[in-house]
Amino acid sequence: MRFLVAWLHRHLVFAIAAWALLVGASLIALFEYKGRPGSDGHPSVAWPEAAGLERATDRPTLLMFIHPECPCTRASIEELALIVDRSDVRARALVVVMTSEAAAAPVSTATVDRARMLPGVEVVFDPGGVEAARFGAETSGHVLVFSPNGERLYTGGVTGSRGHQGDNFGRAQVLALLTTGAKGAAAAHVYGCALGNDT
Amino acid sequence: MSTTIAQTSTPDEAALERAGELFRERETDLHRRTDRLFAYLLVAQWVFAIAIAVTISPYAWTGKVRAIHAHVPMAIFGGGLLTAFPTFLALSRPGAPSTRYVIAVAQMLWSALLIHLTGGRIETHFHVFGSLAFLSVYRDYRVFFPATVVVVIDHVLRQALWPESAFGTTTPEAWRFLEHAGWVLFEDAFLVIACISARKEMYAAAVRQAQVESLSRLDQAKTIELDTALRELEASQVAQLRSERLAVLGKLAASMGHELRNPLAAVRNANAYVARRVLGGNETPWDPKVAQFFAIIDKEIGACGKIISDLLDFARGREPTRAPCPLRPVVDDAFSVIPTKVALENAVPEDLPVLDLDRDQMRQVVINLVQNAVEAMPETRMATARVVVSARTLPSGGYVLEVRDNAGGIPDDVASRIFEPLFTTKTTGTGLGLAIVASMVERHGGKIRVDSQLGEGSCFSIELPRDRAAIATAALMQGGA
Repeated sequence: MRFLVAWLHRHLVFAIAAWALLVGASLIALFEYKGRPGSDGHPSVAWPEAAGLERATDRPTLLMFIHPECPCTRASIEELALIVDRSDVRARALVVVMTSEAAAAPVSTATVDRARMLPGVEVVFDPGGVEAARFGAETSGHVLVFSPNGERLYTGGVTGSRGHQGDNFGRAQVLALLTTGAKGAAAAHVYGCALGNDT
Repeated sequence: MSTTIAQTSTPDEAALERAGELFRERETDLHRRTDRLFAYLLVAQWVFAIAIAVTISPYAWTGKVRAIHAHVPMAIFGGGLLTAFPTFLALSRPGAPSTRYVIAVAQMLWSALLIHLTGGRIETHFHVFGSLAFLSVYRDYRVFFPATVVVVIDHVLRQALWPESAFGTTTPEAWRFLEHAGWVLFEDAFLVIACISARKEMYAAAVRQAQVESLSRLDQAKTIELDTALRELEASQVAQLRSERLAVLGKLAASMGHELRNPLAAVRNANAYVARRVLGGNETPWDPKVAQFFAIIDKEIGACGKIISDLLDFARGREPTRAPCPLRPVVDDAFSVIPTKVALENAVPEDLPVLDLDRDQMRQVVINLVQNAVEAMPETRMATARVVVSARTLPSGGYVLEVRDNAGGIPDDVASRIFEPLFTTKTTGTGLGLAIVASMVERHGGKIRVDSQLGEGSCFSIELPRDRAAIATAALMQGGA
């Protein structure tokens, strides 16, 4: 130990440079992880006929598919809260929580509870991820917006990176859609845990 | 009061130099303390980051399958990396500029890590500005440079590689990173001004303290001068008292000496007559000790007469009659008249310089000092009792005569008065012996002192200078050569 201390003091510039490199590499790894999107899935272009969810016929319907345990999805929920708060058009907002097929009671996690508290947001459960599969969502936080006649207006995420709140392209698209009716040309990536086929 | 003085007076060069020292001391101390503070903060942030990761995002999920979330190893290892090295420097190189610059970089990177671990919450972004404010505790505006550079590099890199994570758009303008860095620079500007101002105040405080110290030193010097003056006054009073006592003693000695001298002369004559009659010109009669004792009686009567003369001379203040006087024989002579069981050692070097001294007075000095040591020797120490007379040459050409004993030492209160006339601790003493010694030494232009260690012994030192006439003669001879 004493030898190490003496060596570090003798080669301080080298030690500082090595430390800076390690720190830089760690931060780059963190950014890379945070910027790695989940699967965009195969979202249906129209409201599925077999869907067990009810679509609003007088206003747009916003669906957010989430994994109840996914920590990254909390940022998506916060972004949803902001969208609901800021949008002029009051869409019917549904947070579709995937649960186990065997789940007897509604799931309660911090993410689900937070979603429940949002005004104008309805929480529904999706045992076995049947609805997610119908709508083609594969990543927690995937948002789909449908027009009253069932046309898909938006697909993608509402966060800029994994589990990260703040201004982002997806949220801007959804807000524009619900405020001015402008339909975005591109879909934003979805950042979150994989919903899985056998939830 | 001192503040008023400091404010109204201009610091001199010495005070400014001292102020510089104080300022540097305080600055280094501040840097060291702040390094330690940051070491605690870094560790606390690390613990906090791990707690956040484990609590908020312990697992990433794929359906029902879970795996450790990347935040957990990032908090443990990434946070550890941001904590360990700066903390190591803070503890092993506190106060070094490189330590605080590394800490500044680490603290700003901690902001980035915490922002990510907390899901980019806007509240966590305040950590950046809090950290800058915390760095200002160093009062070293240079720490803001690496801190700001880190923020700028972070935003430039992210703008190039992951623009949406920093700016919320995939196509930010080229100057966009400046918007974020600009706010950091904005805070930097205020903190740099605050640091410069704080350093100025710190320096002003150091100048004030230096001035106060300077005034305190002056006060101390004055106090010492006053103490010296008081001690001199006290010594002068003691000398005056001694002089008065000596005057009384002089009269008494003159009277007694005069009265004793005649009977002593009669005793000496009678002894001489009896000796002649008993010995009849034969110095080895029936008992050889008889002649020896007659000689001792005669010698001691002579010594008594001499002492009376000396006492009279002392009382009258007789100046020494100087002549070249080798010291070693004087000591031998003095030892011969001191009957004692105590071991006496004449350690005066043979090659000691020969000074012009009054031989009789020097003999009396040695007798008095040795006799004094012998009489002070307790019975319990008799087995190892020893009095050594030695001398060592001084660079000035004189020498120091030392009479050293192992009689157990003299208490301080006695030692301080030991040369006063009529002062004695002996039941049969007159208190004149050491006073006479001191007087004789002074008349030779010398100095006498006593050093004593209780439980051990005492050492009387007499410093005798080379007399001026001898110095002048030596100088002349040297010049002539």
